[in-house]
Amino acid sequence: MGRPTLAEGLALAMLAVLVALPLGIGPYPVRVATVIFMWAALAGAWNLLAGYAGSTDLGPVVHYGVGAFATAAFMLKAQLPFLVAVVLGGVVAMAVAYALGTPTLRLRGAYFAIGTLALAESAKEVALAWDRFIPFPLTGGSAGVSLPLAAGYIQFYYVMLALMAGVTGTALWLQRSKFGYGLRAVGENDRLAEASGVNIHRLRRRLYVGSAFVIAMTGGTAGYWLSYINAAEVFSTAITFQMVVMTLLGGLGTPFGPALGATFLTLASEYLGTRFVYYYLIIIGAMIVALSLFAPGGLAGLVQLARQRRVQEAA
Amino acid sequence: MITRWLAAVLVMTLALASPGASWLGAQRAHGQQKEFKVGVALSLSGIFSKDAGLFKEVYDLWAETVNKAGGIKVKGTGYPVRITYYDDESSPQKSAQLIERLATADKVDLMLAGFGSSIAFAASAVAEKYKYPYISGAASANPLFEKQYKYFFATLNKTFEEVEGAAKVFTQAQPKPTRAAVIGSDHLFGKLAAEGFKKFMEEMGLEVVHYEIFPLALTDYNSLLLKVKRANPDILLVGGLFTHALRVMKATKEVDFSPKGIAFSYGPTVPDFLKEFGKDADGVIAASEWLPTFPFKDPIFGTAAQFNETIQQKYGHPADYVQAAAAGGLVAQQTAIEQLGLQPPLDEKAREALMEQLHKQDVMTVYGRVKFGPDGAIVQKPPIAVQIQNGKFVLVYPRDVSGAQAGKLLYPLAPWRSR
Amino acid sequence: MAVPVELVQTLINGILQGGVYAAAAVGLSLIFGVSGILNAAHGELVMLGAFATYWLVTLYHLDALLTLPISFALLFAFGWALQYFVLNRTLGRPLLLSLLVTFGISLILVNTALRLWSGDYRMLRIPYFQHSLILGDFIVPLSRVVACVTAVAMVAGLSWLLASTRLGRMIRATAQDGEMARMLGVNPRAVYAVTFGIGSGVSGVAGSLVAFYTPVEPNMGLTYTLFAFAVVVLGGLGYTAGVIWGGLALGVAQALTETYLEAGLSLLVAFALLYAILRFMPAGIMGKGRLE
Repeated sequence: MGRPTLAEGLALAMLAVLVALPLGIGPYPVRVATVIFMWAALAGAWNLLAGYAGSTDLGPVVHYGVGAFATAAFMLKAQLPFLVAVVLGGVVAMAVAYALGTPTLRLRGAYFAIGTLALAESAKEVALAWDRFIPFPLTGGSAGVSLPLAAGYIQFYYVMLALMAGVTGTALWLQRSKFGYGLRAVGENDRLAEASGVNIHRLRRRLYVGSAFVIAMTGGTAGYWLSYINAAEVFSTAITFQMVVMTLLGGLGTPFGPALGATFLTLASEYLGTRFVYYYLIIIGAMIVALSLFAPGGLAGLVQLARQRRVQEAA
Repeated sequence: MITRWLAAVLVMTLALASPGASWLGAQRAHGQQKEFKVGVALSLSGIFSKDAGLFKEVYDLWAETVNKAGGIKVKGTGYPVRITYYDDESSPQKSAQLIERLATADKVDLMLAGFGSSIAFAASAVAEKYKYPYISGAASANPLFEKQYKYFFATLNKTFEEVEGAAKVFTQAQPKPTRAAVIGSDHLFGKLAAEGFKKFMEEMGLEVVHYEIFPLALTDYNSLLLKVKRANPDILLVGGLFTHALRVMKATKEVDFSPKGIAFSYGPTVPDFLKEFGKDADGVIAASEWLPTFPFKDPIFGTAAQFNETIQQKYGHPADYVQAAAAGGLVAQQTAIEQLGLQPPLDEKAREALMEQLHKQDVMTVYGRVKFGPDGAIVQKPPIAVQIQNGKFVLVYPRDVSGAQAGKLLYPLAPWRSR
Repeated sequence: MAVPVELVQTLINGILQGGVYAAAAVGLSLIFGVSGILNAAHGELVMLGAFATYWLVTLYHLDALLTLPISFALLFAFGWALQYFVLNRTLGRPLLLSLLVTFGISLILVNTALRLWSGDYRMLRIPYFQHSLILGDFIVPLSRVVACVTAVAMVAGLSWLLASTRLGRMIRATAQDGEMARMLGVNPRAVYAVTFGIGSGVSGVAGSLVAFYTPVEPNMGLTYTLFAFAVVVLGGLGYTAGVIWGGLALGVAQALTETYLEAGLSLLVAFALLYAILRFMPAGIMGKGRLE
């Protein structure tokens, strides 16, 4: 594997700063940071499948919703403490992802994209109808489920930070490991990879299930944080789109791209959302269009471009 | 390459962390605070934007009225109110985030509620955490009151109870209906309203021949109403919000289904309903809790009739009863502040006292008597039923409300083909 | 006998709705088939068409049916410009990029509409559509019949255009092989723009038709985008005329679910059907779709 690179070293330093950060800033910036970490974790998980294995999943919100309801159920019905419940929720989501992923991952390209979208929308409808048909009440239908009020906000900061760090670490590992090389070969030309004996289906499924684990735990944490979840919200395509947009803005297939995109978009929404209450979504839309047209490598790509130009000028 | 942007992110983090990160929060006025800062997270966009718009009208009217009178009078000084609106995009999650922002970054003195039960679910949790009274004129789902929050108040009756009037009105119908169909939209309020309708129908001894909850994203209402028609009910009861009422009404006409009576949990009282259906709307019954003809008044908004007039003048449509409900909450909060003599800025202790005062208080407002029970729900508000007759809303149940007399019930309604 | 009447009525409802779904989806199919763009803002084009008709009738008192060609023209111009100035830059890039750009566009369109026209639900009252045809035991709302017939005629017209006109040949040539087409003197960028224009125009008219009998509001687009995806896949990706089958399948499946199961399950059935077709019949119901 080799020595850690400068990038990884700096990332660790950054992590240390973030761990200590709540001591120096007030509750609202802590909340904003928590939101950023949450989206970085979600986008990062999506990035694993889309950026490293080349599969555009438009239904990752399925795992989010499953995690949210599973966590809520473990906390409310089994009276388990939050951290235990959320991990168990992640495990449940992994099982569901395995079952759903096996048939779905056989699809390719646009079909995979639409198929996963259909899956997510179906899951939403199932969740909405669940309590009416299944004798074990779980989702509260359209009324939703109320979770117990959490005591503080700091715990969420650290849980989300851990999730983000975990995902970023996985991406960094993928960047350099044999597994990761194999994956990117699959991403670039899956038929060729398949011809040379790689079981791409199993490879993709591993990633799918792994990212489901993270996404589900994020969903479970977010549910507890807000003290309320309902099917329409936790299975909403808006969540998927935000994950996709943030990853693409930050740089698809790069380990830090999702975090960059999450930071940028969250802070932009914060700033614009309060200054231009009536127009800010229009501005965000315009920014997305502009950035995708003129900086298709995302923010990470922009920086790389700048660095390359620097190198060229020096030559 | 990574070095560069890592540096960039570090810079951003430091910007976040710096105590002067003022752009993450509104500018604080220095020195003595001369006004009440009021914060609202409201659905300015998204699926509730139409309904939430009605509340913005009332909130703006309140600010205007109060400021014209010199502000809220505390200890001899008048403190004007300044409302800041944030858009929760009809998302409960966003609403919760904005409430937290208003509480911790903007440090507002007071909050006003957003629209709807689902928003209130999320928002009330945060309001409870930061001890801000959250009085809603638009949230009524029963589960909201089971969380045992102290800071959540609602001036609407709980959904289940609210539909009682619109159901019981049919006890006056001649000939007596025996078969009822109940449908509701799959939404916190809609489903509870439908369940309430069903319960009351069973209490009244009617047979519920069809009961169905339909999804919010339903596009084809005709198939649904055809099913209802085939069950041959005497009356149809519908739980849902404005858009559901609109579409159900349209579908009954398209499939030529003419129940002898039709009642909605909400929708017909929104001004647009009459605008859309005109004469066709005659005979429609809606659950309500207020009419401009009621003999209520308060020192801020005047009488119920005056309130209705003002809204008409200012916004071009008669007042919807939820607007009066919001007004009632506003009056209750303002009265409590004046009674306690609380001066801005309001710290946590002041808001706690405000909350306790609200629980103790019993005040007459343009909406009627506002007294909150220990669970935050309003006490003693008789749910009424109104019927559209000749384009106007007439009280039809109960026969007498605080001195206002009910009109005659139009029943049975003439079939579509003969109109 | 009660059952056959109910069944036939349900089928009628489903077919009427399905025809309109087909028209609302054909634009998406055409654009994807020719320029490979997955348009996330598709539903917004439908929404804009619906509003065009609404305002033309309400403000200028135009006859509702007369607004259809105007709606087409407006949306054609808009779509053409969108492709020419913005989306042409995404050509040759991965699928995701066009999805991202069109998503940004949809955000802009929805929120601009919200700012301009507010979130109010608006319904047209068209005097000659107030009645339903009563054919024996069956009820057929006039507005829906006209909408369905117009929708199907439009799809048929589009198929004819693609198959039998010079423009159609140019479009199909560009779709099959952009390089080849260029060598034969066709300007692909112009063709893409015209195609997007036609696709937008058709979607706009579909929206106008829908405005005859449903409420119009800025957020209505998302449902149509999702349904359009479903219809296109059901009919076969890239096979334009297949949207008729896809639309009918979707419409009938929903109507049957609403009548015999429960309205609350109609969406589930729609998406489950979509998933099943993708997995087991990816070339669509008629088997003429493009396989990846």
